[in-house]
Amino acid sequence: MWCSGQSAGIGRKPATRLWKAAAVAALAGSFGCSSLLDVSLPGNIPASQLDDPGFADVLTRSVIAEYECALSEHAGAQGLFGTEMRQSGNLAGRDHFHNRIEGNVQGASDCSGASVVFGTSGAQFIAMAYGRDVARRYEARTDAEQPNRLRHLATATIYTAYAVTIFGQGYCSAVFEANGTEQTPKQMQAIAETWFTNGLTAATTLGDANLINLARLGRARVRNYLGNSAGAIADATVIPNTFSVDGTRAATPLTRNNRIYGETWRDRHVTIHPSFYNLAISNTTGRFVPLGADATADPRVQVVQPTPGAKGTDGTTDAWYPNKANAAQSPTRMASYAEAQLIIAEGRIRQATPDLPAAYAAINAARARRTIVAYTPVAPTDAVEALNTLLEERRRELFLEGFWTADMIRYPGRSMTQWDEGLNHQGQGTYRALYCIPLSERERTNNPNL
Amino acid sequence: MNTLQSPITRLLTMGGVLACLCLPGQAFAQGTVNGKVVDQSGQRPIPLATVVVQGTTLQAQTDVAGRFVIRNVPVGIKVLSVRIIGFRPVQQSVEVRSGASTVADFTLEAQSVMLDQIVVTGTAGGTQRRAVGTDVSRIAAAADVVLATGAQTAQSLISGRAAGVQVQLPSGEVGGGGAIRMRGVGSLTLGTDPILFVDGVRVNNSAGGASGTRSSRDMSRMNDFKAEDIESIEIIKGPAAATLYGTEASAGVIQIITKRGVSGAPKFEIVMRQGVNFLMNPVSRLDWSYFINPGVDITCGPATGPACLSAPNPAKAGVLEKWHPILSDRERGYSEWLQKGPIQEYQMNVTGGQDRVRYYVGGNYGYSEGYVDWNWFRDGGLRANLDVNLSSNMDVKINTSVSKSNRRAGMTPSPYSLPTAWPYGHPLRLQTRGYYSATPEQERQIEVTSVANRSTNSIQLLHKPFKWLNQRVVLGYDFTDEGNDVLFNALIEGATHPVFGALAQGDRRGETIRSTYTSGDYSLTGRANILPALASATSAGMQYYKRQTETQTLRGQNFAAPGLTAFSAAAVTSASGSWVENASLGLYIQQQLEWKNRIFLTAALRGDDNSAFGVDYNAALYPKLSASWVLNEEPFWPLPVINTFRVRGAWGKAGRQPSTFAAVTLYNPGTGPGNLPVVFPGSLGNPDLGPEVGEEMELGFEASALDDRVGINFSYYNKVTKDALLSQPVANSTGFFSSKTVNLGKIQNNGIEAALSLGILRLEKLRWDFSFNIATNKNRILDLGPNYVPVTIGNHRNLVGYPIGSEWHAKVVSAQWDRVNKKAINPMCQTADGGTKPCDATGYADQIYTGRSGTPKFFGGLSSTVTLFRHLRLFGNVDYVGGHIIQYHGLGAAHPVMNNTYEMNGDPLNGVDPDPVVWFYARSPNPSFSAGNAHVLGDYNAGFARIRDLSVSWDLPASVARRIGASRASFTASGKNLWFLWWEQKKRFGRLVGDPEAGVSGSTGGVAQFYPSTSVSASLRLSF
Repeated sequence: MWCSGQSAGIGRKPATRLWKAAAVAALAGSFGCSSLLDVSLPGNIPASQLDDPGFADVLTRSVIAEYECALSEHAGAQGLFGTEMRQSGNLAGRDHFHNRIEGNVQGASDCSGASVVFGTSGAQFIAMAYGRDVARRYEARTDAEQPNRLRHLATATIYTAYAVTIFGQGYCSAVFEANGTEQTPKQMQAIAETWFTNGLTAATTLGDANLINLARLGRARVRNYLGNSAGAIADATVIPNTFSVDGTRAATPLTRNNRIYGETWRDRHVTIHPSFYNLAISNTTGRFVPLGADATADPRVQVVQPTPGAKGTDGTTDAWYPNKANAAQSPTRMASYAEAQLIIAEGRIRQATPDLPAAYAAINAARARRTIVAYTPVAPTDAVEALNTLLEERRRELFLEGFWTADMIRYPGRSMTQWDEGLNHQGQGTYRALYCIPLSERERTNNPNL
Repeated sequence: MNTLQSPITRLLTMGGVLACLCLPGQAFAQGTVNGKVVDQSGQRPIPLATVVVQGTTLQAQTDVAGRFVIRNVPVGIKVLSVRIIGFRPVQQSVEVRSGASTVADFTLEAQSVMLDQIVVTGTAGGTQRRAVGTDVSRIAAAADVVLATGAQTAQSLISGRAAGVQVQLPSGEVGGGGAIRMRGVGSLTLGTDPILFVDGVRVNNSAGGASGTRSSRDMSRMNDFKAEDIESIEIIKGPAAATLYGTEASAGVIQIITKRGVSGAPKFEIVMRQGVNFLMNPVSRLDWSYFINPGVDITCGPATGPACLSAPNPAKAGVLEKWHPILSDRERGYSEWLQKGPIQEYQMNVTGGQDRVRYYVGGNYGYSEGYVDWNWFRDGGLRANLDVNLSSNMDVKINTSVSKSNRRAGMTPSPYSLPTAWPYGHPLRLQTRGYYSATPEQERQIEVTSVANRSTNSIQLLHKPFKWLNQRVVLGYDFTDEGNDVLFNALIEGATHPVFGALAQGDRRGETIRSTYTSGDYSLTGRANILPALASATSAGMQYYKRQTETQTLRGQNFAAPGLTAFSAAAVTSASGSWVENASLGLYIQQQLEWKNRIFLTAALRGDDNSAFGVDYNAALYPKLSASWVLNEEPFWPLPVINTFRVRGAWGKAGRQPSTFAAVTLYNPGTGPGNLPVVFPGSLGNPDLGPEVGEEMELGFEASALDDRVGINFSYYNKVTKDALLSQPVANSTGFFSSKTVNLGKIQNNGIEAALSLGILRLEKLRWDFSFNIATNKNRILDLGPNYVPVTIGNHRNLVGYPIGSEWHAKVVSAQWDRVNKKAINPMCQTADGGTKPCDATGYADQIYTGRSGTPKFFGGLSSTVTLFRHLRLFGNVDYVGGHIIQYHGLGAAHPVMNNTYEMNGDPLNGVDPDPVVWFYARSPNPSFSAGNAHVLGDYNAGFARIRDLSVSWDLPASVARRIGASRASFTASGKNLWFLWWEQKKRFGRLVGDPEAGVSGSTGGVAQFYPSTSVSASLRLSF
């Protein structure tokens, strides 16, 4: 570039050729060349501004915001993929999971508000990569350079780790580093474990109990997925029964809406799957029974019809919508004591010598938070019943939080025929066999290392 | 008597002669010559023509009325000659008498090839056409052209009048303006519009009008400049010619030169035009919709309101019924929604001044309505141009103009817009009596308006400090303030409105766009005679340009009551905005050598820097070489019958810069938890980003023969766009969910442009002139880089080896109809190798290239002017275009979405089966035919030839003009957008279905648009 002026904070190379230098010299003297090509940028922020330590509050908050968006997207996408929900609209592109037309599987939603389809890659990758890059900025600075460095580092690291865990739930593979190599879900969980550990270290030094619990629960989650029962139990056990962190949502702007609310209550393109209608708990045994006498509707899975006989926009599929996401500002739960107890239960069941009473105790501890009747097993020593109970508890407690698909993949003995080849419930589309969400075409095509 | 005179006598005689010559007041052997110079075709006065008494230094220049006076002409037979660029020189002998005034009138014939015309090339002082190595199209906006064609705007002046330049007609609503394309589509990501200069300054040429409708942004800011104020338009078509304009000029340059003042007494002109716009043959142009009656009686009429009623009637089951947006409405007693929209236009200008100060002042006002009454356009403006001769070697030109326009569009947001409603219509849509989404009365309740205020100002200083040196400074400032609104009026029914739903609570989207273009241009040219036959012109210059555009948008939703429209009255409001700023700095140097004013060699180099270039990109360099040879002026020229012959050639480069911030990695502001600000990844920049560079070679010739009665202009061009800007998606793992702009692509355009003019008859009282132009274009993508993912938009693809937006679709060649199961069976599809195979119901069928894209392969025009008795002119102009394909969504969607065509339904009770091929396209679950591919049923070859203009102009007798105090009066009756002479779709449909001019939008296909309206008008032009 000839003029050595700054444009939006970007420096320019000085002229190197003689005749250009001569022209620059002549012009600079007469026209003030260095500022002629400067342009202002009042609507966006150039990357160089992120180097400013004073920008850290905005940057850390941005990492949280991106994760919250990704979580809402992930809960919706996994919910549709894992048949917590199903399509009730006419637009094939809106429900690529159920249609699973070749090439349509990867939704691409990001958090700019431009998409209407549940996305599997955009928001999730942005949250992970953005958090990764921001956390590394803080790592590279000293405490003297960055005020409150430890808090920013801990927060960014932990939220990044949560974003990484998403790719261990329901995906065939992912990429962690920018243009990095392909990782299996277990490898992604291992990366998440490392990041949770780093985040925990920073949070512990900081002495922030909330961040500590957030890191511990996240690490418990991934250790559970990795089969490290002892480690998962150790982390989950310290989570207090008051602990619950949400991914916040808001009524405005639209980009902050709860996505499941948007697709169900507001736009009626998606409905809850019939397997979640009228779920109930026995008032005496606490077992899973149909709704009726001596049973109470399970408060964890409240799905209702907006009006009797309501249909989706396709005019034929019954419309049932979740009270858990019945407003634009309904949050998406991110981490909770209940999940910690279920991790403990799973660990107790899967450990080398199963401890079923401890498992049931954990399950009932989670239930107690919602005043749900404690579960009494039919056969207290039957590990199969214990596992089925645990999985059903997870299916209900963690309903529409993005866990069910991963649970079905982890326990393939459960029915996955809905993922076999065929047509969707509307008799439409081409429904090829798909048992995990593949790496996005955008990544595969444009990553030179794949 | 000895006749020899003595020396003394001779001396006395000489003294007497000298005394008579030297003493003032002596009426010794001198007279005056005066007269008028007019043009042959229309007897119009020609100002600024130079009249010379040969053999003397006596000369004069004609004034605005074409008149001249030369005094003190020696008596005797004298030869006067008249010269002015654009006309053939004429000589006349007159006898000058002592003390008397002799009248000598001249009639000049226009030249076919004007080698000595000065064209604008970017250097100071301009260049003679003979020296330019490329074709420069020049459109003279003479009054008769404006009147004959009804051209009101700059774009309407250009349309059909320059070979190789295509103005894409907008939606057929009043106030619209389209994109301009020259020499094909040279970019995958940037538009085709050339840059625009008015009186030497860069001005806003962007698309205008509201977005969010089916004809989004269908106005052009170029049309803020009125034809009546324009002296001429010069068009520079490709990089070979546009080098000196540097970055941004690769798609061409349009120079508008507005009228200047002419010395003389003030001369006034008034033009009044009245007319109507209407849709020609609406009944046949708007298609029937068909349906099989399920067994109901449908009752519609004003008594039932906009909705119809239905009651069971089993006897009607299986009957083929039909609906027509006009005929059915008439039958049911609804009011006509088509109208004849009035046209009113008024213009007035005055020009005059002295030799040192000359002025032109013009003003205009106009109002017109389209063929739907809610589409109207009103505009007005003023222009003042002042030329001041500061000294013998310094002139300054000051230009200023203001304009205001106000428009309500016919098109409204989808799905309510009428051109969507009628082809998508279906008789069983009871709520809207058959229209797809809204009745015309309901659509009238949606207001889409645009207001624009504009001011363009420039000052030009021309200085000639030495005889051999010209320098020029031009400063310009162009400001546009545009406001666009889309308003769904709040209705009493509110959200329960059966058609608008929640929108009936009121919804208003507004945007304001403020654009400023600031420019500065300095250039100088030095000329020298190196040898007697060899001259040199060295030029250098600098151009600086800055564009700033601020956009603010507001939205208001849910108003408490009908009538409330202010944003402050809305229950829910939101706002956003954007800012775009771009600056460009360029330097150039050019050397031209000319040999005997016949052979010209030019070399130039321009360097550019731009704020949009990446930080690691060095400045762009654009070289140029050109040559021109005027062969007919060579002594060896053997063919005197060919009075002009020039060969020319050029090679050069010009660029187009990337979008403003594509080189910079950006983060976008947003809202985070607690409504606190956050930033999220926006776009990944490219520090190496540079312009896409067009490199072009052009060869051609110009010739005229038979005393300029035949003129030919021919060019061949081959243009390659290198480093074409592509959007390359980036891997998700980078954290950016966007594309990065890279310089990777390569696109070729080549073709020919030819123009022919014939003076078929040149008789005293009958004259017939004919002209024809044609341009061809072959477009091909040469390279898209290694990782480029082919883009498919509907049926259009960008693939290497094919044109941009090449049209592909699966092709069903045959199928049979199963009457029992009522479906198409045994469909056979064409394979990529030309064979056939059964169409796979669930898999894919081979996509077959149709051989076309949305870009025409050829286009042009022909016009004919017959002049009778020098005062009556008959003018006709035909446009033609072909070799491209249109995707008419209305026709496509009528099949799979609405199921309302005859092919889909057949006439079962009369034994007519549905067309199984069409049925299979529309109903197949095969993804090759689903979604956008089903619209292949709406694709058709879109070539056509149309009578664009027909007019009769009459110059009223002087006696009639004098009765109203005018010096001249002329009357014109004209028609525009008249009959089709040929349409390619006839082969497929047998008739004219969708208008082939509705919805031409290049590679992305066409959406349903208002058909272009036909207009007839009468104009009266008076000169005082």
